[in-house]
Amino acid sequence: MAEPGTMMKDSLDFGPGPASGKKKWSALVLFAFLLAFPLMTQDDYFLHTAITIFLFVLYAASYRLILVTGQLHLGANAFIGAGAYASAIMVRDAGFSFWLAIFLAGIIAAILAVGIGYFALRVKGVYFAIITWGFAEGIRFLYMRVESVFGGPSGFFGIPGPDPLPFFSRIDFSEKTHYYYLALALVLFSLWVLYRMEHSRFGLILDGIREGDRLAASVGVNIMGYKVATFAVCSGLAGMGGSFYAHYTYFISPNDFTVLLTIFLALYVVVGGMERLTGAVVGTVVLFIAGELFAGYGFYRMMLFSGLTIVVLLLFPEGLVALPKALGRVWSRMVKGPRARIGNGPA
Amino acid sequence: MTTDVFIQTILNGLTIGAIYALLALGLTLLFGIMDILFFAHGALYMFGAYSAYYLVVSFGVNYVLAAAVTLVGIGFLGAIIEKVLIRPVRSEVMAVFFVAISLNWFLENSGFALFGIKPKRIPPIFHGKVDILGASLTWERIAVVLISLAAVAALHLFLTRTRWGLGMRAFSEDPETAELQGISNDFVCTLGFFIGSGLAALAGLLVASLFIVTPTMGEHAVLTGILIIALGGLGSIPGALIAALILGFIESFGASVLGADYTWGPMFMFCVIFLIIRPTGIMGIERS
Amino acid sequence: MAQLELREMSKFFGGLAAVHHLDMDVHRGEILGLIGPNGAGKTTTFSVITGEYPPTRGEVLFEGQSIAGLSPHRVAQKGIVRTFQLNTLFPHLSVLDNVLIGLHLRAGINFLEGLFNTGGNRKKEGKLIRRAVEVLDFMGLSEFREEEALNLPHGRQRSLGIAIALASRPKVLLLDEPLTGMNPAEVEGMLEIIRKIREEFETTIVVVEHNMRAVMALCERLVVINFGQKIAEGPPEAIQGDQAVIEAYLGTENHAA
Repeated sequence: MAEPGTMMKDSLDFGPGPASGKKKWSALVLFAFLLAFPLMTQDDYFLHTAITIFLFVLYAASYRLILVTGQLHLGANAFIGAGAYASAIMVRDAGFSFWLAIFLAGIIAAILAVGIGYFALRVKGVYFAIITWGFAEGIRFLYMRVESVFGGPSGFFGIPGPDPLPFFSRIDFSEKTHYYYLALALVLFSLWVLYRMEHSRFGLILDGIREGDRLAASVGVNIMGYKVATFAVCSGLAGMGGSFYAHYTYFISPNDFTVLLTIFLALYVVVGGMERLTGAVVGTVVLFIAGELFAGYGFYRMMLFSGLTIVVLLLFPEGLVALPKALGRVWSRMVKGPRARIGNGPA
Repeated sequence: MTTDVFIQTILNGLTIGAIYALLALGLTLLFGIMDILFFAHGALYMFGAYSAYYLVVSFGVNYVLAAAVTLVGIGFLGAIIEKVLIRPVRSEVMAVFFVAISLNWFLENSGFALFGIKPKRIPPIFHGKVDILGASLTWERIAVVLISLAAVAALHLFLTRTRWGLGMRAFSEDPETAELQGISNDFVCTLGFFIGSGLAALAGLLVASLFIVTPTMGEHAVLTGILIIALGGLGSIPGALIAALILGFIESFGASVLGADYTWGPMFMFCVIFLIIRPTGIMGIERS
Repeated sequence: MAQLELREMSKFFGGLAAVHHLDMDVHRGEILGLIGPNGAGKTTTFSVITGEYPPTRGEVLFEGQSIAGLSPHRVAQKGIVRTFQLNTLFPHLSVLDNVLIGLHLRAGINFLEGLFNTGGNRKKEGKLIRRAVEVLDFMGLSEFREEEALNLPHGRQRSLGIAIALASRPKVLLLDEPLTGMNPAEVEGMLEIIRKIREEFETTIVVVEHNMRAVMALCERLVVINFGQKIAEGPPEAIQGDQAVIEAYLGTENHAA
């Protein structure tokens, strides 16, 4: 059996191993908790919050992978919105089943991503940001002006909820719990896809592209192909999230998908820590809950939120996920003394 | 479109363009020197407007004195921001970007808390207007355009004739050897922020006399500013000025034809299409 | 027919000719040296061959087929791989991962397989790791396999750069200044490895290098260019005595005649 190789930032998983045992246990416990959550609380507010958090984790996690490839993406809202509108139109106006529509919405978002990515991914940095952001605004403009199709500034009303499941027709989405489990399934699916992408060879090549794209191309890596594929998959997943959103809230408008949404996602990812997928999850949960806790305080809430972000960025640039490690460093320095040299022999 | 409406739209575009030019100038300076998109520029612009408002309207200070105090005050604020918030993370591009965005929100919301939601405006200094071919141009607007031109000229002289200005340019081209010429890199960055913030404040106080002042005005301003400098070619001052004028005209014509709410779309589409064709912007400046 | 042919190849940047009317043949299995003073256009030539820039004029033929204008990854697919002077490796990844990426063209891994991490996928990954370890053994880097690439001493970093290029078993290997910053012992070691590469894998090798002693010892044939044009060609002994070559090098060193 071959030894697993290791990447500097995370392990290339080739299968179960002893080190991941503890991680697996905690994941299982968390999963059990999430499954049981609706049984523990009947309060619709908590369920709604959980559902919203699931959605944002989905958005943030898919957004993160694009950031990790080194592209400053300011248009994530476009693909979420595209998925939402596409799905809404397909179900309300064309009579599709939700289950088909959500799948197609993801495909449509992915195709849009390929379309814009083909041009945008040739450039990086600010130019990429401008093009993606401009694309997002352009699409919003479309939603606002073509009222007959998209409903215009006042929005798109009367979006039906999901039709009952094929065999389990008791699950007819009349209760929030049904939506909860659907959202949970969706986010777990997305996290699984994103995790596998990053930890398979695909992810290794993405790392190579980020660390040295000229070099990667010189050994045969089709840089554009990988970038577009990543962009498409991430945007497709986000589009599916958007579709869920549309059929959960029954109403969408262009104001639901502004660049502000993307910037929030970016903050969740950066504060949580870009290194690892869990960073996106942690950052989203922490910042979202922080936002909710201070919901009644008007402007001070945003000040607190942005102030907190700045503090984290300055003091914990690796993000909250690295907090245990950072604290561990501080602790060991306190315990062992500043002149302790760990692992180094005599000078 | 009738001739006088056409002329009016052009004149409006000129005024808008002049103000955008000031904004873009500040942003270009910051981007050119430090390679950062300073999002909080918009908040400083907004603070400049409010500072002018409070000094002139609430304290009855002379307009010129108020302007001077505002420019210097906001300039120092920018310098402090650079020292405390930007310098620690200067090397991490994304961190700087997000610090700037968060700062923008922080300042904008503190603006809400401090200044209230109700829009405000400063009464104009110069009264009366000039009629050009059926369209009217107030002296106030002419003054704004002239002040913008003066600021551009002053900046140009600064960058080409003074030791500090040349030091800045040296730093933007080659940070390592620039230090050898005797001006510390840290000082260049702080100075850059001082001037850039001052320019933002200037744009803000000029707008205060022409349009209304709200805490959210910075948002639109900085987003447009970023669009402008990308269109013009990142880091290029002439490009920024040309792009500012172009977008000023597009906004003006957009407002005329489509209505004031729909100016975003055409401005964005223009920039996006232009950048797809020519990603390095009007002046074709390539920055790695 | 030579394996790699440049026919009147020119590359202009703006108005400046970096390479001008270059005719060059590279024969299968040879070790060819491409030398010349700094700025002569050697690295540009490499870049044109590997597709980073299309030639402004002229032809680039590989095994009889034109490859001019193909993008770099397509050129690599054809079997031509280069190393770089700077940015020789993936700095924050492990040495093993560096080579694993280099194996890209031989990886044959399917996206969906990777997604589901099937048993077949795991076996393929295992095989790839074994192959990568083989390359590391060959280049003498096995002990560093878990090390972060940028922590390697300089000479080893250049070895890693070659390992990455070698991993795909190219038909033609373009080495861009592989000996920079090496002490004489390391140089000897590297020359040995380069010869071994040609022996074991029958790879054609083109070397751009400034270390003249090494070049003369290693290469069977030399092409000398200056100001983007070929000024001499032939075996090392002939080149050493060539008047034009001596002048070209002396001219750039400001020696009194």
